[in-house]
Amino acid sequence: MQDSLLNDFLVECREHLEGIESDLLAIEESGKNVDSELVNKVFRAAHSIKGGAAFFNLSQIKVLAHRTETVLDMIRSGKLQVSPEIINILLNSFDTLRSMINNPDEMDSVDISSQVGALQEIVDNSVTEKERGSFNRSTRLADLSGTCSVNVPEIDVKTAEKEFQYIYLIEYDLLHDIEMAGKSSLMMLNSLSRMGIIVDTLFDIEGVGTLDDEPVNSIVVKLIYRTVVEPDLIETAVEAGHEKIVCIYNPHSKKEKTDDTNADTQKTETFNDAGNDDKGGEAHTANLSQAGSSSVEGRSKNPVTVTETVRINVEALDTLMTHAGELVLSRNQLIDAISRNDQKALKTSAQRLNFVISELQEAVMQTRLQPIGNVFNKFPRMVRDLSKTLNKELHLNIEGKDVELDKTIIEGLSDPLTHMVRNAADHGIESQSERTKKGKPAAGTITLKAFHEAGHVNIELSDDGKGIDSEKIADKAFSMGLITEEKLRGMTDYDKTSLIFLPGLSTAEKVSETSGRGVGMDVVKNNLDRLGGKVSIQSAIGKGTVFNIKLPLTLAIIPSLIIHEEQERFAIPQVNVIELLRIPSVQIKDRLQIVGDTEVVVVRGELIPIVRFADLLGIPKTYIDPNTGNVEIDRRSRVADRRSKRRSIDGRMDVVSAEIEQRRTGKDRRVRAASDVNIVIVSSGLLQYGLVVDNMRNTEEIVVKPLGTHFKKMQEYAGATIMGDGGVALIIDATGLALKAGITSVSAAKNKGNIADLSGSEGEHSLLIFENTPGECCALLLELVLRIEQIAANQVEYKGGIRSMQYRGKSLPLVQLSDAANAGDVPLEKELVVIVTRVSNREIGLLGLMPVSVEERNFIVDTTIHRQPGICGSMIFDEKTVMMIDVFEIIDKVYPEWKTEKKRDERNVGTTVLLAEDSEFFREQVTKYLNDGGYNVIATSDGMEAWEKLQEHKNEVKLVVTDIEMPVMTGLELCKKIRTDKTFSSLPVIALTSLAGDEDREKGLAVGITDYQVKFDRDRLNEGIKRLLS
Amino acid sequence: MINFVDLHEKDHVRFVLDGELVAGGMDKLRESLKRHIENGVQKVVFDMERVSTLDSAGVGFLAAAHNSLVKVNGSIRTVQLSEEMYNFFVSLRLNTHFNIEQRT
Repeated sequence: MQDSLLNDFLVECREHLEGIESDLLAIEESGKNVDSELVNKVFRAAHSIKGGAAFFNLSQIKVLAHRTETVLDMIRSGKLQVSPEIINILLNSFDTLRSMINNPDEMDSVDISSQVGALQEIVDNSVTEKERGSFNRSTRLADLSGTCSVNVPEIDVKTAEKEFQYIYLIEYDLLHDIEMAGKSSLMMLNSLSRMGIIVDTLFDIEGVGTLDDEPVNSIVVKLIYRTVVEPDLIETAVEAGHEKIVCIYNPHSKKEKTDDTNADTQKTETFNDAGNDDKGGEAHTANLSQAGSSSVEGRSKNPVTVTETVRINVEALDTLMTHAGELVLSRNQLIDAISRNDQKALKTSAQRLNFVISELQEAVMQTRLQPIGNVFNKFPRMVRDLSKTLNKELHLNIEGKDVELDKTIIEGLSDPLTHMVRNAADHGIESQSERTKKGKPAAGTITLKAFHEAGHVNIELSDDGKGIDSEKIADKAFSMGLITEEKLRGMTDYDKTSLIFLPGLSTAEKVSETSGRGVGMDVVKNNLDRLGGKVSIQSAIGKGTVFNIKLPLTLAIIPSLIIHEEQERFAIPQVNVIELLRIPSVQIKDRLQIVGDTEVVVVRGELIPIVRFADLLGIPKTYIDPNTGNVEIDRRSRVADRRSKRRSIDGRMDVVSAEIEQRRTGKDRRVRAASDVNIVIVSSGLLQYGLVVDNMRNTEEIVVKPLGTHFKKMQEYAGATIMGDGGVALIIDATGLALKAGITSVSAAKNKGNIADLSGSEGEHSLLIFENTPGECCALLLELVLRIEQIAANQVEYKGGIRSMQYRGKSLPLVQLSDAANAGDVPLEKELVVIVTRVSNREIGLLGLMPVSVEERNFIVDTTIHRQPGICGSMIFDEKTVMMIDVFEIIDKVYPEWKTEKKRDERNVGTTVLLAEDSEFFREQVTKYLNDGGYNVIATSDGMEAWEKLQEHKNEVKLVVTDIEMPVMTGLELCKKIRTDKTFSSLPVIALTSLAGDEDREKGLAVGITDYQVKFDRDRLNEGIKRLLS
Repeated sequence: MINFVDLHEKDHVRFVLDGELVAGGMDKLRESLKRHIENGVQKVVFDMERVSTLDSAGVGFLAAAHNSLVKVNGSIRTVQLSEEMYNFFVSLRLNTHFNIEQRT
């Protein structure tokens, strides 16, 4: 019983301590304008803890709680001004209290002397001289009826007032009240001393008589007793009847605030003053040395464990009861239906049961849900402390504190989030001086956000720090032997950034107290994986990092798609299922393609890799021969058809022979539904792939059962479940399956658009959009535009067959699209613009029409349909066809002599330039420009291919021109490789880019880029090459 | 049952007590003390080193002894008290009536 009471008290203490940290921080922030209600709240928590601790004789807790309560009272009464030092001491004290409450068996060994000393010092420094003089004076105190009064030292009264203690007058007959009850007077008095102070004892020694008198059979003493124990507990604490106790001082009777639950008025108590005159009878012997424990010894000898509890509101309990009742009714109906063999009633009962069980499940789940604020609430204090430790100014924003998650998940989130916040503060946010230099606010911001999305909970942790350098991560991982060069080659920036989850990887220059031991992020990921969560990272250097954690609402019951593969059933968690596809047999050759050696399915223009589920799990595939009905082994190694289109790794479609084209368009042999292909598009983080399965069934809510330890290493399974018919289905782990299939991030490239807003420039170009004629939209790379001038029609001059205008004191040649291409003439009566550009070191003006706009887009140029001189291709913007202008070709057509002036430099003939450019459009254009300059060009589509070609043609290549952003290997990676190879280290490297900011140039220079050139400027590119080669 | 040896020392009688100073075992002690007071002894020292137990009757005895000696202008001292007993006596404020000493 005592253990149970103590356990309840400890649980209550934990509740009191929840939220105290954030309250104290809020008090600190309020400074002089202290929120008294908040201080009251914290005060009441300390007070309750103190009172209960005294009752259970938990002296360490009592003393510490008491001291904190004193300081809090001084704050709320205005006697003490809040300062960070005082808040630190209070935080420290509550930390110690929490620690003792969580480890009750070890609390006696906890050293609280420093906290007590610090708190006492705060109090002492506020004791006035007046208070000190009260030591020698006494006060007359009486009970409410006035019948009982005693003198009590004033200092005790003042102490009681200050420290919220009560003063009682307690009468004991040592013989009858204590010894005859089987207790020891000595032990009783010792016990009282532990719970409070015996201010004075009134013992009528003369009343005992002399040796000549008969020995008395009662020894009555009256104790003036000062204690924190409240009137409703005092009887039990001191083991005396209420008639023997009088409260002669109540600290709350003077206080205005009555919201304290213990602010009762003094009880009217009387006690029996009559001494017991009966001197006969035998005194009961009580052995002084008895170890009999007083009943106020609340702590038993058995270890106390604080059991886990959850607060549930009564409404939720009522709902559960209601559903339980409905369940009983449904059961009864079912039994009745079975006994009558009534099929209709059975069906109705089953439906009802289904409904009620779903409701009940939902209600039970709700009882386990807790707000994520329970975890988030500890971070303000942590960030505050980190701010001091790291000497950085840090702000923490928290959103979505009320989002609820299963208790188990909440508890499991604490450690991973703590580590991630520490990392953000330590590694992410720069120092104040660094931030100021970069033009950022001096204070770094860390944001923790929780929100619901699509049936699960997302937690985002973001910072506005320096971002994660994926190259640095990759280099570190490689140098530590955590990854091979081969694997690195196939990685995108996203993959490389994700390497931070490798065990042992830390790019910290030194290990700090805060972080840097390299044991963090892999543990974070493992912890999150165990919770069924997925973590992904988006980062941009110089801008910041966002970690996104996706979590299920609960781990125990999850909705899943049931699939069939041969004779087996499997469950794929709904959270991983993106969509379901059924490819009719006649569409296989078109919808399923082969990229490199990977089969892919085309879904709304995207290529998603697919794998055969049976192959991954090693299940032999079979099929039913439609003619014989026999089960045969399926010997096909591919899902895709032989007639399926093939692409090279850069996405270009292979050119096929007429024969194959004929076969593709010919009659289909596969016509049966059984030949249709079922694909489940599955996601795991940013990775998406398709699972080819036999059949897809319905979605069911399944109970997740863990697999046995012998299955621990099977990464493809997350657990198992028991189906309605008693059979077992394994639950698929989408990430594990992807790993087993060797799927990396074929689909990740498509998601580059998701972080484009973070990086700002991936794959984007700025285009000037204008019209040639009304409705004929044109685009020109903005890098080529010098100026845009709006002109009147009469400014256009025709002199000697040459179109021009007066411009800045000179004659500006004017051209238009129709000078080279089959396009309309610019109507001069409309609003005219002249786009001034430079070709062959001369300024020329391209005529066009308003409106003119600038678009920043990722665009794909079709180089086939509208291709003609002056137009290098077309694209679709906002459902309009826009023609990409090649201004060089227009000039070449209008002023061919300008080109012949710059004849192919004979010195360049035979000079080979290696070009690396992933965009087919730009690759073609730049190749043309280089050819125009007289160079031989070896064109490649990514850095890896360029490296391979360089080695093949090492004696020929004199210069490398490379794009920056490319798959497989970027331009910077290529340059780095070139510089670190003795054979090529001095080879000039020109970076072609539309990214020309200082930061990008710095990055380029750091890896050895020799020069930066804008992609579409033919003349400057060739001049640049010429300069470098000379 | 309390055993005792009463020793005449310089200006007082020293009762060296041994055993339990509890109800029902103090009659002989009481009588011996009364005889000493009748013979003119004014100062009595109770050596409590070997007192294992003391109850309310024992407190009553000491109080009565004190009252008796006060009547003859005398006093009692209790010496060699264990820490527990010493604290007990202080709690009862017996130290405000007669001298108590804790054993060192």
